[in-house]
Amino acid sequence: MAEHWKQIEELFHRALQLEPGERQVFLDEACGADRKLRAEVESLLVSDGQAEQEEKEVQRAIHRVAEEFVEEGSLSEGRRRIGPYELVEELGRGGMGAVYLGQRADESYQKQVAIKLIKRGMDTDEVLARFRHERQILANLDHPNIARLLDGGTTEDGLPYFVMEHIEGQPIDQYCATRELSIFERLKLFRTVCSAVSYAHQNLVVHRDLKPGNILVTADGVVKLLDFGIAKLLHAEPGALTLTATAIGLRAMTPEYASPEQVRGETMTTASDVYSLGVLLYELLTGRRPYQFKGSTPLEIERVITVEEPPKPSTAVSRQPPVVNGRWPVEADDNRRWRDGHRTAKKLSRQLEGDLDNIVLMAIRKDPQRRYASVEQFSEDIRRHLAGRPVIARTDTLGYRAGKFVKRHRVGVGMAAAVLSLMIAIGAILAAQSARIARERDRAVAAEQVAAQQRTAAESERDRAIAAERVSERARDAERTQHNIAEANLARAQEAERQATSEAARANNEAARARTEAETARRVSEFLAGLFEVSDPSRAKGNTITAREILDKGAARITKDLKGQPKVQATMMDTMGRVYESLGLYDSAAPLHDEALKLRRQTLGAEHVEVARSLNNLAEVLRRKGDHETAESLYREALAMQRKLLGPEHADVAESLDNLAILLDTRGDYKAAEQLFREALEMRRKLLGREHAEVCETLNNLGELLRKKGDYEAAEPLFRDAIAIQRKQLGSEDPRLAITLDNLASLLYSKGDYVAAEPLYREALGIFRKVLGNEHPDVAINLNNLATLRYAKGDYDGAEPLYREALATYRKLLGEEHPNLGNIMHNLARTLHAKGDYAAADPLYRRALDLRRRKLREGHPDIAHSLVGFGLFLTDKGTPLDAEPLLREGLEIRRKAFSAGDWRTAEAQSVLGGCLAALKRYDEAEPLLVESYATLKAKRGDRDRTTQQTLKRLISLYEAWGKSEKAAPYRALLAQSDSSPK
Amino acid sequence: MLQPSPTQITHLLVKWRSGDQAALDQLMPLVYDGLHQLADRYMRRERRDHTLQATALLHEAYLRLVGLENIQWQDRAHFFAVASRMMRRVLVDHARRRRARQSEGRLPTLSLDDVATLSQAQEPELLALDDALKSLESLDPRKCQIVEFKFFGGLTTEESAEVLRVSQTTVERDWRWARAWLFREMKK
Repeated sequence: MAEHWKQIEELFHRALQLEPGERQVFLDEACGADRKLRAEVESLLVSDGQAEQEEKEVQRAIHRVAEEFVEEGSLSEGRRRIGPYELVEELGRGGMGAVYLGQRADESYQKQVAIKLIKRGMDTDEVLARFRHERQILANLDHPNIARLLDGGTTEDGLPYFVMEHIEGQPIDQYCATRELSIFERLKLFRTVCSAVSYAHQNLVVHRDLKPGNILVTADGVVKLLDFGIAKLLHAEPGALTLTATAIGLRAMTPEYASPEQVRGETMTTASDVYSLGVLLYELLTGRRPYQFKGSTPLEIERVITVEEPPKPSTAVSRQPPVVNGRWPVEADDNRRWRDGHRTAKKLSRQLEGDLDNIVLMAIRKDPQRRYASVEQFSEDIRRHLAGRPVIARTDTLGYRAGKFVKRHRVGVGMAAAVLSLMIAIGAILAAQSARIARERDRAVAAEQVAAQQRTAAESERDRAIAAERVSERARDAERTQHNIAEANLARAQEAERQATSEAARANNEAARARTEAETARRVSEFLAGLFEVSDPSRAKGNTITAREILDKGAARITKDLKGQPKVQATMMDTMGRVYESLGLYDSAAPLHDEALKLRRQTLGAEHVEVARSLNNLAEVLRRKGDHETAESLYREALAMQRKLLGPEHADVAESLDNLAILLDTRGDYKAAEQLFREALEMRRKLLGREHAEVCETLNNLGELLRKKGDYEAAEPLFRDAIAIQRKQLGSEDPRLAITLDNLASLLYSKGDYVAAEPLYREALGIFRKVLGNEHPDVAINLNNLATLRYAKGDYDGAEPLYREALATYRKLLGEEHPNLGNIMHNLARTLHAKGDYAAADPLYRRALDLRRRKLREGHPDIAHSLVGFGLFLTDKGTPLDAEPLLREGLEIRRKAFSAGDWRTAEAQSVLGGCLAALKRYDEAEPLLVESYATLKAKRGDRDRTTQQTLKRLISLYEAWGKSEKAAPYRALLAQSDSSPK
Repeated sequence: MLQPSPTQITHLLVKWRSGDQAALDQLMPLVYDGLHQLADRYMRRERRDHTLQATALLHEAYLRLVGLENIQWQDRAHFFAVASRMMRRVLVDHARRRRARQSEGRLPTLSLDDVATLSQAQEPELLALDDALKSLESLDPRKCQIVEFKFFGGLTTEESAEVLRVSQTTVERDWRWARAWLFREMKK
């Protein structure tokens, strides 16, 4: 080895004597076939070429370590006491000093404290003066989430120290990561941090150094903020920072959380804390920090923080690796059941998209004026997001509000409101487009400028390199290394030039994209203008234009006018479809939703939240149109997609659950429907709060289900709860309130409380007519219900016209085949029957039964409704033999569908009993009628129509049977209930 | 903690010089703490103008600590060899402790801690240099000595040549070769 070693050294020195160009030939000759030797010498020559520069770096590294060593002398490990405090152990060290766990030595006060000792170099007179001044203010900060500053002073050897409440906890980022907190939990925890910072701001204290290390969470989950105002004590003005900067380098600064004004050395305000909190939230939500520092020079850090735009959090999660590998559950989800297999960054990205992106980016805007005005406002915006309300962090406010508006008003909006929402939505698309265009354009221009600058710099560097090369060529006997450096410089210049060129290409691309966006905006605005051309009197030929016409015109032109803009097309179709739907125009809505679904699948892929939305929209229209089977499969598809993309607990998932439950309810599958309603209710309450309009929707739907099942006791409080919340949240003219009022009225009707029911029906009808106009399915249903109430009261003449109006409206809007038509026809038939118009009643009964049998699944209670009613009719008409099988079928359906002792089953028994009595099968009829009467009396009371009819049937039975003595007590009961006051 | 007395240190230095390797292990912590405290004291005196460079300050502290006048050195070469070696060990030791502290992860209440973005990246460099120097020493002790003089002892080429009793050209040649070799090693 030693000989080899000598040989290498010798060759190394000899090669250094030669020109670089001559070295190859020399080594070829000297090393011969010894490749290993040659490689060794060559690598040393390469190393020597760079050694000058590296030597300087090593020297600097040594100096830095020496500086640190000297500075840390003041914190030497031998320290046992600081002021009156005995040190228990050293907790850590940092750029500013050391932190010790300590306790007071001179008192019985045993509580442990954290003592921060500021090291030599930071202990300027200004620091000490400021400390004395601020100490009282800081000591007065009294908040459960702020660690108290207890004491402070200077050590015997003149170093300042602070004594603080000792907190045992984890930095907030680690706490969130180790506990795998969901986004929801993280946001809540973050809001607690905000409340503490906000409190301090109200007391005129700015933290100035907020970061995870200063925000601890104890094992009990209590947040504690440390070091309030300490940063200010340590460097109040830029001058002080410069002084310390020489002593400790840049170590005092945590660039990741520093605001642009801080790195520029400008005044720090509460807005700076807003910024740091924004960075913190960014990190808590994404596991990444907004900026990546490529170099660590102060200039580079300043450039990045003051110039670069951070990626949106939703983009960051799918692009950059997390801050700490493996520690962050990238897949953190809205609940603890997130281990169910759908844990992808993509999903997290979707959760952050929209509100959270906007909230975070607003907090970390470069210009302090454009951030949230206060930490409180920041926190409030998060609260709004959690409550599903519009947030203020949004550039395209208009579009956003329109989105929320249409969503909130899904149940139904009036003609005017519908068109208004459509216009807002269109305007919003425009606004969003133009805002984006402006941004794209700015970015492209900026990129072009940067590229131009870089090109100029690259060119001059290249010139310099060429000049240097010439110099070195002329001085051939000069240092050979000069040549190497020149070569390296040239290479670097060429690289820079290449980069500048690619930068310019990128700028061109961005400009092209901006042009495309501009084109979209132009088309949308032309489209919008075209819609209103009809309102020009000459074109509209003097006719008043209706909202419906605008809609029809718009719908017809979406495909043509927005060609090549599939995403915009889909959005417009979605909006228009929902407007049609809210107007009850399901036939116009369905093809729009269908087309939007196709477009979204084409542009966004098979699985996307917007695809799920379209599926839901289409399913809802189909359900309303009566196509239950297709609707159910679409709902289930949407639900599965949302669960996969958004996780098991999400407002959209709750909405889909609710929708699917309504469908199952409509189809008569009460058991499955109830379970889903309860799931949706719980989820909505959890996610949106107990007093949210969407919670009321589920309360209403569940109440309606329970009513249909006959569980009035359970249903009534649900309706009353919903109404109270709706009156508070929505005012007195919202169609959603009307629906709940209508349903509560129906419940009271079912209970036989006609007196209480009627005013509720009337209030609901008033709202419906006002908001929806007269031609709307919901108005028809309300009319039907009110008519039924009149029928129940025996007011057949009052009921008949209402039924006829409802029937006409429904037929007009939904055609001849809608299952609800069966209800109205049956009710009208029953009224005509009661009035004695058998000829008119008969075909209506039959058509209703036929329609229901065809449109509803076997065993549906509505079929029983028709069977029992028609059976009674046939008995009354004198054809009980035809009636019997129908009645037996009806009774069987009700027995299965309703719980034991339900009055409707009793009603079927009663009618069948009457039928059997008419067939003179008294022994069969008697037990049915007796049981039926007992149930009805208990459930409906003596005065109820059905109870009294049953009494009459019992009396007739015994009379016909020749058992008058048995009839007598019932006759007495009948007389008694008849004479009792109503 | 009391400052270690010069006699105690001198005693250990003499033992080490006469071949007792265990003496070095006893010596190091004393030098480390002694230098820390002395440097802090200098620092307090110096901080108003803060002119003295940290490495120079450490050299001065070392001279004070060892008490140059208390010991009869065989020759200048030996004195500088020991001083440079001490400085290397102190600084490498410091860098290592620092790195160990950092790798422990964030400490519970280390809220004033703003771990250096700059020095953090540099310390491993010093540790890599130390490792490379160890290899170099086993291959060629004189070259290692020259590097230690230059980096840790603050000696010029001229001084090194004088102390080692060789020509300046030899020091230059050795330095150039050692430098190329070390930096290549450090990149491995």
